[in-house]
Amino acid sequence: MSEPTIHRCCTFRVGEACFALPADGVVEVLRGGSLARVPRAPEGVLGLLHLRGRIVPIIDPAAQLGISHVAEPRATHLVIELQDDWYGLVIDEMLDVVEIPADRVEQATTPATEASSDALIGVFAAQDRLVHLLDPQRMIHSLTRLRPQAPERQGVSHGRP
Amino acid sequence: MSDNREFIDEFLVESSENLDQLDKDLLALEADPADPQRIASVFRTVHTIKGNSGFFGFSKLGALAHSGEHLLGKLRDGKLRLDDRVAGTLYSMVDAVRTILQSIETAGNEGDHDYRELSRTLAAVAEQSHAAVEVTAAPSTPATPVEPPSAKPAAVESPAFEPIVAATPPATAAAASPAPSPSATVAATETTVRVDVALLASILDLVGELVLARNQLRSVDSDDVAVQACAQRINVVTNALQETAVKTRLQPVEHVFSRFPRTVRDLAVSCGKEVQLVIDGADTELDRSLIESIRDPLTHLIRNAVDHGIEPPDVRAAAGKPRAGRLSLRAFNESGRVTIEVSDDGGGIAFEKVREKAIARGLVSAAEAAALSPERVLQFIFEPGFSTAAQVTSVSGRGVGMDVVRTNIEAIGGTIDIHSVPGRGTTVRVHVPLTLAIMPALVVRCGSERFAIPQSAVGELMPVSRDRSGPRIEGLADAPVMRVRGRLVPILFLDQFLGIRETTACRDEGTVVLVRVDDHEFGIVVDGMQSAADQFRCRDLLDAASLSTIVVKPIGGLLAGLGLYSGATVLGDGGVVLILDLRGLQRIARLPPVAREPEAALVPSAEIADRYLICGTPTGRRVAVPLAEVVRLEQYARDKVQVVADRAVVRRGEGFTPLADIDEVLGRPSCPASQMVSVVVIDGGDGGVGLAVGAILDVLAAESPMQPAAATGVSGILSLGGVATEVVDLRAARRHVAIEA
Repeated sequence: MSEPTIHRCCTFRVGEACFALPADGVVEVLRGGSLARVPRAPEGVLGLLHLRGRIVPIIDPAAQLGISHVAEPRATHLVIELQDDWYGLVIDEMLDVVEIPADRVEQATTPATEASSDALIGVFAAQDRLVHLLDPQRMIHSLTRLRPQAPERQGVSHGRP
Repeated sequence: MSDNREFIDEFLVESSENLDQLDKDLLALEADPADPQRIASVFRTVHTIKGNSGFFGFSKLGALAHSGEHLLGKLRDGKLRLDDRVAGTLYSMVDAVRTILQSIETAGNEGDHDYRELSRTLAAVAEQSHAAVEVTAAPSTPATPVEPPSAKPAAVESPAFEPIVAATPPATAAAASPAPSPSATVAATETTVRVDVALLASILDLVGELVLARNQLRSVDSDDVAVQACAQRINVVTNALQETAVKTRLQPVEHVFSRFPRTVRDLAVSCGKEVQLVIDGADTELDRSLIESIRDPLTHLIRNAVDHGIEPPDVRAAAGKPRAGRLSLRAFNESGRVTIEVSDDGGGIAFEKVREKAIARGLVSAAEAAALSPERVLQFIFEPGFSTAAQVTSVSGRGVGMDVVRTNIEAIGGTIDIHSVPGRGTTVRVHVPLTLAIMPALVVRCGSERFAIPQSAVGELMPVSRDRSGPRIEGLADAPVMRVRGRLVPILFLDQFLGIRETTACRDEGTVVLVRVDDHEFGIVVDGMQSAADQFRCRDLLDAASLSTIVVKPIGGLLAGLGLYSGATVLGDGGVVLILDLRGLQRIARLPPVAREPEAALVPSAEIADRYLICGTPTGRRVAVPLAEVVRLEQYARDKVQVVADRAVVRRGEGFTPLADIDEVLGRPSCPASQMVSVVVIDGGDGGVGLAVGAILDVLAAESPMQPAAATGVSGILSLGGVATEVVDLRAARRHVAIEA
């Protein structure tokens, strides 16, 4: 977090909170369409979207960020690139691209986002609001740890013809 | 040197291609030693390598190429004839050059090996030319078979090898046929360019996007004739573009086949055999990612054919066959897949040896083995560590082989089969998909979801029958199985397993997709098929009427880690559909394996007769029902049980199944405890008779003969799982239902 003096970040709103991601990782912002559901996917993965030849998992960051807000499936999708894979984040509103000086980023201590684990790497006080800086990689990785409740071996298989 | 890395890489790629060409040219020259264009081509190739190695300062390589060039110069000038000795020396040089190039590629230097001896040999062979000048006074005369000097070692003595390439188009024929025109070779190099594979992939992706946009355009209602005409035009162009883009992924199998003439020649020499290799269909195309995957399996099959299949010349002559064995390598398209056939006219596989070996290895008992068909016996060859070779040779016969071949072929969605006629030869056919990026798949429905199942794994489809006329699923507590021609195949209910819906009610409709991965076979119960008439992508690419051809796209580590899906695809309607990872399903669902045992190790019905379904009654008693009598297991919510004309029944399709309470059958008052009723359906009447039990516990085999018992509704007592258990008298149960009526 120290070497570049200024971070160019895309800011967006989820629920009442404002977040920021590095702008150079953003692929596209689009209106959400219908998603293909992924049975037994990790919690937070809402489904798959087809975008320019790629299959993009759409993720609801609310759960990980400790926001009790449930995103509508038709909300805005912020598509980011991470190690050649694309991921779509469901957000409520896209805000500005801002330049955040590194020395003005503070350690994240906000109680509201305590549950957000290590994806939150800092807080920046913008003019009118508090911006939470996210590390996209940690965010996606923490998803893989949130394993779904795996049904054990298929349940007692009654009710067959 | 590191500054030159880029140039060196280019040099390595180019040289490697040149060496392949050199192998082909030398083989062709052996067949027709006087072909001046071939000699010129070989000379040019070696000269280029020499020049480049000088430029990069690879002195060993340069010295070696120089000696080779010197020798080839003599050949070109007609001062020397290409005989076995010259050819052998030149092959050694090609191998040495290849070794040095590999060393440069991996280690960045030429390696420690000393090639001066080889250089001297090359020089010596070149100098012997003077003695030969008189003999080859007329180099322009048509080639006559070269008489090898009598002092040569026996193995090399025979003109062991003669490549024949049939029916190849000009582009590939230029590489392999005996008399190509040099202009064709030149033209081939001039009309191709190197393109980054990633670039091709992105073109294919973009074309996929275009197809989707095209589909959307087609669905737009417009009365404007101009718009319609434009849409039509875009449609046609998109189709053509897609087909072309897909073709960029394909390469002729020539890339693999081209090495085999040399392989066969060397093998034939080292085994002391005469082999004539016939290659056909080298222009058949295959996805570039698969080309490499078939190289090793095919090499193995060829080794087997030369080493074990084709007999030594004397044996062949004694059997009335031509001294030279014929090894045929054929590739062709067949129903959307590529078939590669390796066949020899050798001694065939000794069924009896295989049978004995299978018995010796305990794969099958002697009695079972005797009953097996020859085709079934041949399957043992694919067992790990199975070899019938009487002795281990340096070429093959170490017992690792056919199982690896099969594993490798199946890993790319292919299949392999083998046919053999004793005394006449063996044919092995490998069927592989054209590509892994595009494959035929079955699109199934399950609830509101759709899934794709790779067609290569699908064995057959069976409806889950309402009545009991067709194959049915037998519930053994939580391990449902289906009896398919005597095999007990484990069954996976996709909807339950994936949590798509809770299955509680009786389900009358559905389809079982029988799939096979590795050594596992299992059935997946789905709602049905996506209708075949749907507008699938690149439908016209392959001739697969009832299947859709899907473009496989990765789903990223986040979801691939689940182990349930191997990828996703986009169907013609724009919907994203997940491709089921069958290996993963099998593993995660912990489905029991069903070994591929078509005849031998079936569970005989006698064994079923000894097995009992263990149930608990609502009052806690432990009872057993003969498994052979059990038709199916069901579970209902208690409110689904209706009372019709004083009979407890459950609706089943259009009919009813009468229920008998287990406690009442056993002469006790009924005690409805839980909200769910577990029902064991046994034969009787049209809809069977349901035995309402408290819980279904287990399936166990009887450990003792049945002891008589006097209790009501009990036919006897058995030791099951070490516990004395009452066996329900099913006649009493049936009577119970009838009496109530």
